Amino acid sequence: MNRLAEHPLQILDAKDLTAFMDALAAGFDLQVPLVAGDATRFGPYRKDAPCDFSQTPPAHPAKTLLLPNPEVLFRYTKDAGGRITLSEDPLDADLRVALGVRACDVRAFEALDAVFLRRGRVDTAYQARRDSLCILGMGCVAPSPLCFCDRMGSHPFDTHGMDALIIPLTGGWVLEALTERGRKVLETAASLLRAASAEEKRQVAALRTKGRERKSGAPVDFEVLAGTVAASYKDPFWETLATRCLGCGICTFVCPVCSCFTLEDTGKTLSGGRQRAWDSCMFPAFTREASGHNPREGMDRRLKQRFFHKFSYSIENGEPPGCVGCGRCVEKCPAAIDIREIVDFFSAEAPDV
Amino acid sequence: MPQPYNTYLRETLQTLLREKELERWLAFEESSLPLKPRPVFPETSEACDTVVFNGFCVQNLATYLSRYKGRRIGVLVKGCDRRAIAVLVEEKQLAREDLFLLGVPCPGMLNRTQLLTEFPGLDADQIAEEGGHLSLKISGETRTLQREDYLLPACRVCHHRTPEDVDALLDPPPLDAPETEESFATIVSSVGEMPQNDRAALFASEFSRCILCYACRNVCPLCYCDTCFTDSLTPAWMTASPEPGNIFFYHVNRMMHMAGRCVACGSCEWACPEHIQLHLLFGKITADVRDLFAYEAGIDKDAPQPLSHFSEDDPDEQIG
Repeated sequence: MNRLAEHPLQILDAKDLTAFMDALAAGFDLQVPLVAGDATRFGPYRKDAPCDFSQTPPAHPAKTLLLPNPEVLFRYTKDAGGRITLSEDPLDADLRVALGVRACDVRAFEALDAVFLRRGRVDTAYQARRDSLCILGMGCVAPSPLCFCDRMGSHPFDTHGMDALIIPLTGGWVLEALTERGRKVLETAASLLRAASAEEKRQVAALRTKGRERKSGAPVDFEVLAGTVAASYKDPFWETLATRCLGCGICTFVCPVCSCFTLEDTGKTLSGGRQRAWDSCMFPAFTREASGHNPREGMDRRLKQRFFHKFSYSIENGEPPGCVGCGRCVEKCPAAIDIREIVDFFSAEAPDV
Repeated sequence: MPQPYNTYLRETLQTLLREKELERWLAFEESSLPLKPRPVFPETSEACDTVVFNGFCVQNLATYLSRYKGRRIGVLVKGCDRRAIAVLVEEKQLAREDLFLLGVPCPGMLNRTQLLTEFPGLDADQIAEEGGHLSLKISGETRTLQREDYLLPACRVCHHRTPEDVDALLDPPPLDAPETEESFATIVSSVGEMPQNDRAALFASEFSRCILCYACRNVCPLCYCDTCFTDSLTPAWMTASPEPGNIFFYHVNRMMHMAGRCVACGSCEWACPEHIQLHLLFGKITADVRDLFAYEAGIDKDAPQPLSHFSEDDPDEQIG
């Protein structure tokens, strides 16, 4: 991605926000955090569908933009003569613009890239969606008390992987183009933008400093964590945690990094298809074999798998850590299983040599 | 809940753990999140020192008992926990004599989401539960709220707060909070009187948010099948993707299986990450079973479960 040498700050007044989104939507497939119940999740912008940029982060991860659930892999039809025709949906080629993606979710995209692009084979549909996604990210002025991205190597104003950064101020948004692609997208709404004043620049600098200095806890040393987690297979910690885990899929579905899937065949004799749907390692059926044997029958084994994958296997394999500190699973787990407590427990333990 | 009550509760648990030779208790302790106590399973006297009870101990603890079959377990039970255990015993999933049930007269559980939405950042030490009202201390000022206005939907219409047929009952109760006059009929009529299109739109909107995480099933004390129909591969009744067909199929079938068994504890709605109004479904089956069979699950212990019992006297006018 072509990073721009200079990042001029432009201002969008709050009153022009709808006009701004209309302008973007006229040129691109615009994805925004749509309101659904008391949550927000990314979906296509529509004038009549309310969106809300205040949830920090949006309740549902932005991975939905890269991993639709379900995702059709191919379709088939069978004609009267018994001839079967297979077809695939066209790959995404047109630019999609995601507005209001937070730094945690963008970091998570890199963990997804490792799975879908860099394990010796490329998932072409994923790559097409990834390449066509222009990320107009948003800085987190008021991070949730459950967020801990600062401990996971990021911070609320991290611009890594973004095409532009939005910083919400009281009277509107500050827009900062970071890449050539981001600049071009913002240009389509140029008539609504003006250069930032000295006072606005000062406010932005102050917010950035505050964001960068956020300290929700000690930064995590992933090498140490990977070692202690790897050595913890028989630690009673896991069994204690498993006593209250309900084995539902909330944590994996709201996790921006979790990407395990299942394949399902749909349709009838004459037409149908195969699709990919999100799965969860918390479900017993995830590893149940055709014989009926399940190597991860117990809840403790399934819990261990989830966290070993996040903090041990991913690091060992040279991939990004499986947690970006978004705090969503902490908020949503009915049994109050707190990934921060797991990180703390194993960060405090000396590696078992 | 005033601190002395938790001290009294802990001392009671410690005494009973020893005297009744219990392997462990199932109770609650505070978690890292405000207003969200989590289940705890203390095996020693010292481990009982973190136990608390307050208006946020929503989760039905009977759910965990299948993991301790045949063992001597003590359970702190609210009315709905007790009712779920009664159904589990009736369905031969548990042996009553294995359990020691310590009843807590329930004041009705509070809606955490509603409170945190109205009072962002509210912390446990800012809220005092006092009889029929809540006192909130927010930036130096005290706000008084009616407890009734913040009850969870299932708790608003519950008239079985104090567990019956327990081995010991906490006395005095933690709070003296009055019940409401409402019943499941109130919920059902509010939806039943809607025009059909509006009702369809309501359910479509609620269930469009479902992500098929199965928290509602897994938190349910009475969803204990070894293989849920959702996980069956031969036949595959449904697939994993959260499409409208799968979602409706799942929820309607689960409710069919719950009719005459659901104790209306509301844990499913409480656990739902999307706050889908599941009480509209379990409220309807609860009201229907009551109207049709004059039966309440986990209360009418001498009567057979209406939908899993056959009698030659059953009406058969619909059978051709």
